[in-house]
Amino acid sequence: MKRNLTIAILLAWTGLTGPMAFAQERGAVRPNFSAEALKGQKILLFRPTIQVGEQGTGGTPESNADWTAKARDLFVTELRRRQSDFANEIVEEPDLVGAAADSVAAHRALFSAVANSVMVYQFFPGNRLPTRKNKPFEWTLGKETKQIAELTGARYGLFITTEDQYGSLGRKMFQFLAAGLVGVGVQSGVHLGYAGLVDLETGDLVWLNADGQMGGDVRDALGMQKRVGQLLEDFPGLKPGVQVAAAP
Amino acid sequence: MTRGHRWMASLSVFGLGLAAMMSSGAGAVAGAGEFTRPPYAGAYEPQGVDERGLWMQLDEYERRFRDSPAILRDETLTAYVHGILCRTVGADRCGAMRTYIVRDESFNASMAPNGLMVVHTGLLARVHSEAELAAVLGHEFAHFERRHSLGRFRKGRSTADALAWISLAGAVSRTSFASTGNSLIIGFVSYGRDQESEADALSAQLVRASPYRLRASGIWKRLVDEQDALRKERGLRKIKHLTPGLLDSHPPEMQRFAFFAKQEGEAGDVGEDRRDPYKEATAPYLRDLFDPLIKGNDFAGADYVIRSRGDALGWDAQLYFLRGELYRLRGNPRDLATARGFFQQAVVQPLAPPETWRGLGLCAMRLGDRTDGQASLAEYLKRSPNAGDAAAIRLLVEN
Repeated sequence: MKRNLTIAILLAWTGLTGPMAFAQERGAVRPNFSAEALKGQKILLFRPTIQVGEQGTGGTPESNADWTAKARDLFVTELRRRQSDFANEIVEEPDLVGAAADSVAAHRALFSAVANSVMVYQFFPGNRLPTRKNKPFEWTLGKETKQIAELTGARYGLFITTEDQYGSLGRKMFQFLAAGLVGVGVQSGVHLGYAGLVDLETGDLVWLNADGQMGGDVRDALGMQKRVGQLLEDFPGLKPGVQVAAAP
Repeated sequence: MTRGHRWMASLSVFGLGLAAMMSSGAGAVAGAGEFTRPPYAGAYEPQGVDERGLWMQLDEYERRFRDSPAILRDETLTAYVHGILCRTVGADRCGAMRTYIVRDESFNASMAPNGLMVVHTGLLARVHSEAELAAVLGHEFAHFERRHSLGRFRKGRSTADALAWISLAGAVSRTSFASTGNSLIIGFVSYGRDQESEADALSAQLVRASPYRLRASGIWKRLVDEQDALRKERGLRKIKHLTPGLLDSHPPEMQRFAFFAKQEGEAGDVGEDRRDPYKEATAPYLRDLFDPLIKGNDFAGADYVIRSRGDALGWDAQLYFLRGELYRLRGNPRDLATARGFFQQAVVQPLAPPETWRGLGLCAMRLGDRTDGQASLAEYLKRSPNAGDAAAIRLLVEN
């Protein structure tokens, strides 16, 4: 009894009941959307949210500016390298000011909120809200995204988020000892990411891919190849026959 | 999502009445000691892995935050507030700061480690002079200059690490180390409270070295009065605000009042208050500053804040109008009668906003005075023909 209690305290303090029950399902495409619709259309890449750091012994995330900057560079390089895989032209988010910047910022925030709802209430079947039960994958940001389409000339918007915390030495030791001494599984490291595609003309979310346990070390080029491959898994705009997750 | 805001040090956690009201002995307000400022050495760049990581997070956060609809985007008002910061901390040091005014009814301001400063409209509604605002901005700047977020991050990490190890030790030895764990958590919270006291101490030094008079105690006194008014309305026991609770993030208001009152006594009446310039500069923005308060749910608090500004800086049409709106929106029959009185006081002043006649008309109609009401509503339509609710009001006038 006491042991159970202390273990419960251990889990509560270190915040390690695991990352929130992530998705049994990892991706979805809006019904009646096909790669055909993407053909020849310009895709706008919103400034990706990339965070890389270490995880302290007690689970504190420690951002690392160098790792993050490097991952950001590697990500852009990798996406450029893959440009030929896409049947589309990908353009980066321009640096905007004024009303245009407000609109982009608002929609980026809205996308995060919608994508989180999808991950929590759609991808995890046991957690579906009554209004989402047995419903197809139909989520939207609303028609205002059209402003962004007009502003940038892009038909689709691509959002990418990755967060990595590599287990520190202390964390790994703690994981090892917790498992060995009391049999508690402590997770070391956080590696999650998601990517989504929005039809800017209609605001509809046409594709979303989320993964709470991503592979690939984003701090080196090969690892980034694997990560981007996983992020773009099932991306509807890839040329047929392209094997994205090929890198080790 | 960026978790930037987690690392923003803030001025107060007003109204966060934490249950644990246990005394932890003497307050540490004066414990900060004298701090010798290093000479200004140009743009500061973060040093080391932790600090650079923290700044990177906040830089990324700010990229998004600067375009947020929560920001009151007004160049004149923002430049005015920023100017007060510059007069307080020196023109060289304020250059790297970015000031954002955010629509939020709470009495607060916050500072991120990278120099992003957030000032709530609720703060601007509650201070009565440039000198008072200077003390608050000085406090926020002190957090930046003393790199408090970095210290708190490191303290938080070492606390979490220690908690992990002792809880593992507890699980292995089948002993509860819960009390040790609790003291670690309390230690972390009180570390943050000491930082707040240090920021108050440095703020007092900054203001005394600036052209402003040190006048900060009044803010804390009024904050207590406001809270008392709110608790009285709700039939709650008054909070003493004398000793900090174990889990309070900031020193209690009366302790801060006492600290500043003592400092003000030492400093004397040197320096400028600049009440009238503050009144003039904020007058055009009263709607923005008070709207979130009026639409909130703290009637007695909002009423206190409006009254205290009126009593300190004088009642003008806007303030009468805002007080009228506060009562009209609560909407009890007795409130409508009170609101009508305020609107009547507003319309005889110069520059009453057109909406005053709308309030006057709606209250009159609801109180059964149809003729008077329709006349006021017609006046509203005349003064503001393109108002969003013009069509609805026209229906009332014509029927």
